[in-house]
Amino acid sequence: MQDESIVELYWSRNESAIEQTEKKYGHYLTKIAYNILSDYDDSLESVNDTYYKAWNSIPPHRPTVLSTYLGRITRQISIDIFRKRNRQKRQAAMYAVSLSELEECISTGSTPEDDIELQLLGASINNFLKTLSPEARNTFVGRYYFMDSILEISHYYGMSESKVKTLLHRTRLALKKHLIKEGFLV
Amino acid sequence: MRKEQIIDALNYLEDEIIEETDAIRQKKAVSSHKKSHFALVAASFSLILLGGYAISSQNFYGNDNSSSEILSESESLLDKEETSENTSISNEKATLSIDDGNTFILTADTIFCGTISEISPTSTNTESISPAREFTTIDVQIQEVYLGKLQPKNTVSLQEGISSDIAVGTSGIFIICDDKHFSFLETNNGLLFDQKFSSIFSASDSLNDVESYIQELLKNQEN
Repeated sequence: MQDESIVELYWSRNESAIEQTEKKYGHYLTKIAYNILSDYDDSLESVNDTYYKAWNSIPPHRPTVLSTYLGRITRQISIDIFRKRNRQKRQAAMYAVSLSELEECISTGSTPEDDIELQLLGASINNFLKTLSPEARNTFVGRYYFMDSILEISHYYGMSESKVKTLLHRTRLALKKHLIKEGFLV
Repeated sequence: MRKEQIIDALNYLEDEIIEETDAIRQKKAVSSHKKSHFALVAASFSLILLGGYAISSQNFYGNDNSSSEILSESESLLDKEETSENTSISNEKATLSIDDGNTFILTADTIFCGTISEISPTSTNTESISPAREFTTIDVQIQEVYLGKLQPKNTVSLQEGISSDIAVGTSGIFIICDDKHFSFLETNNGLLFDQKFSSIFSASDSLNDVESYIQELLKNQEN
């Protein structure tokens, strides 16, 4: 089914939208989640949360490329799950439970200032990426947005793993310079 | 600034940049599939859905080619099911006649992709395989079923050949044929698969290539 048709199902509040989304993008989204979480159950939870979030956000949104829209949601949810999981691992069990209970008393989301700062940083990185060669840009996005392994990147870009590593290293150094110039780093 | 902020900020990248990379990620699967598989699909392979009986009588253990890519010259099969649904195998079977200069035929009951969730200690099979071979039992959580009546999220156990590249979290596609199976595993050292499929795949192929190949075969059958 075409993306437009699936989006129409969401807009008409037809629950088969979820089924069609799962059919077309389930594997794709699970891969994004698994790259971050390395746990199949957590990945499934992340993908299910993605469907729920998509259901609640379409409408008002009308994404033109559904894979990108859904992938972005899955990525963020997976990162949140990863952080929560690691936070709990680091903390003593009772402390983690107490802290988790207290979360009900406070806002657990980020502040508007945090969001604006991240958006500005994202826009700056976006501008930086546009100055790169497509090869450097795509390896960077593949590695740090999609969290693909070096091996996977070397496969889909048809280059050796050492070349991917070198390219990423150079891009990271260039990004550091860019962020210093832009005032994000001192 | 913390490194996590950069990771978070990447979620605000413009769609065009993400789509550009994603297109390359997806194109690799399609182009590689077209290059190495379409011709083979047309010339060398046939896939026929049959009504419930197996044709295969090949000796799958007779190949002494011990390439590192050989994984699944081992007895399998579904010796663990989490639900009763797992026990039902579709009456439909896919017969693959593969001509790689040494034609062999296999009849698939079930084809699915999944992720290894558990690996049991090494054992030695002395009963049905001669000479005896060491194997390990892997639990695979099913993600998507291409053929057969297994259900996503169920777990099946398979007896797999020994390889240090097999780890929990490794994704794979599994073709189950009566009491045997063939695995295609995407590891850090490339695609691991049975040597019998070496005319179709190489270690540099991805699981997407295998998936495309399987789906193309099934689609051709439907047509």
